[in-house]
Amino acid sequence: MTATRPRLPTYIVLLLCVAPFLWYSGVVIIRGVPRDPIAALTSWSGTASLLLLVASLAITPLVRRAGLKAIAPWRRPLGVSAGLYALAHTLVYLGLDYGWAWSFIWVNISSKRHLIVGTVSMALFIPLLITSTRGWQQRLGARWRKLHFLVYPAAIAAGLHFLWLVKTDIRWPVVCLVAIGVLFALRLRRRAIASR
Amino acid sequence: MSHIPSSEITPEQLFWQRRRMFGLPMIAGASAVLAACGSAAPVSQELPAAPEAPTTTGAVVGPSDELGNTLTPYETVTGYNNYYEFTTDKERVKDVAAGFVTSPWNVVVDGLVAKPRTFGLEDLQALQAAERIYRLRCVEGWSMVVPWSGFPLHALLKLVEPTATAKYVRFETLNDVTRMPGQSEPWYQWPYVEGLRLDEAMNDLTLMATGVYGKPLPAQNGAPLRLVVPWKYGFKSIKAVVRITLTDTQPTSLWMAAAPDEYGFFANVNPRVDHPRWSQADERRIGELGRRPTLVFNGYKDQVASMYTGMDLRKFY
Repeated sequence: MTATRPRLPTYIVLLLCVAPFLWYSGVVIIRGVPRDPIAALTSWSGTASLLLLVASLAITPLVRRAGLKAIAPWRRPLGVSAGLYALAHTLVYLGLDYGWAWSFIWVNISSKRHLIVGTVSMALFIPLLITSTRGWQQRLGARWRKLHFLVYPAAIAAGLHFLWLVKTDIRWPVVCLVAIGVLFALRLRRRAIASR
Repeated sequence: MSHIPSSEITPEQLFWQRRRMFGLPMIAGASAVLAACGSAAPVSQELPAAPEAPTTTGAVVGPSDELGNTLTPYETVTGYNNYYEFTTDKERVKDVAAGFVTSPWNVVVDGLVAKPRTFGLEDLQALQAAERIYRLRCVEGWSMVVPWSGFPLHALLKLVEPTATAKYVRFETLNDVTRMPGQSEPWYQWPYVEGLRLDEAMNDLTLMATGVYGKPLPAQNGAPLRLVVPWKYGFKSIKAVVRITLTDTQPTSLWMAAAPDEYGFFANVNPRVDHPRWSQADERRIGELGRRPTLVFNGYKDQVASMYTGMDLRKFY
């Protein structure tokens, strides 16, 4: 099976993972350093994380339904980089934006729904990031799949985080949440069929 | 289209040299007085009943405001702001607004006034000139320190003589989607409308700005004429004003219509009243790392708090 699987060069998926970084670097080169670099870094890392997360979740349906078997190995690197951009997003917020001023941070996080769901999403992501290696996958065995099913609640929380922070124009958050919802539904359907 | 040849615009460097010459002794004098009274509260000011009263608070005297905050650089002031009439991207307003024609420009002042009038921009430029360094606190949680030039709104209102029944002032931005492409966004009821209570409008802090850093106001900052109300969140300071109407009913602003639970009529800067979606306790001064605590009435408590005595500022946010 593995031998017959068509192979794509590894650099393609690596390029996809660093594409947001390259894109925003290009923005800085062309348009100059943003006037509010912290706000830009926050927004860019968040956007990159959500895009890669949706891309990662879309891999399995694309492999199974569209027969794009060659992209199956992309799921893990896309998911890991989504998690890493989310981590960068969180560190920019805590460290650069708030300078680790926990009193301010706590007031914000505890009272605002978009920050509560954002925190939930990050909290779910951290164990997934840690156990994303093949070593952990083997060690956890069947429990690994159960654990990594948490990526769906994490994704929904991330989508809500985006929806609840925008001012009025909710088009992109809605697109994002619908995509996550459809992918989650496909996953649940597959699970239901498998357990029948 | 500006009448002022670029050769006559004071370069920023020279602007500061000139300020420093007479500015520094004034600062030194002021600190001596403050030192004399220890950390006691500054002398409270009366409401400016007489428009001729000399401007003390926020007068441009040096490279910082009266609290010692450094001015935000010109490039940042003119390169980063909200102006949805052009674009919702704060970094791009400058580019999209480039070429916006502000001449000729008329401002209609009407409603409950004895002498309604249409002013040309030149008429307004003849009004009592003022230079003020004001902190600008955006409702989104960022802030700047900006040296404006213009005239106090009360100088204009005095000319049209508000009647005894006038209670509020309603401001309106130009409504022309061919010149302001952002007005094609369906989310908002254009044109931009803002309002003040008459006593707020008459407060000496309330400025109609025609310039920034001693230069004519750039299009992206609300040229040719904008309101600046430094103790309120930035969105109250309406840009590209074409109409000022005195009314007896409280105007409904664009933001009140768009999201009534998030944006009230008063919108006074208040660290104790959160925006529904984020805390207002702190702010990021653009260009700084970390956050600073937000000040009650944006630090202008002594000049404005008396107007709100007895009001529940949580209810009237």
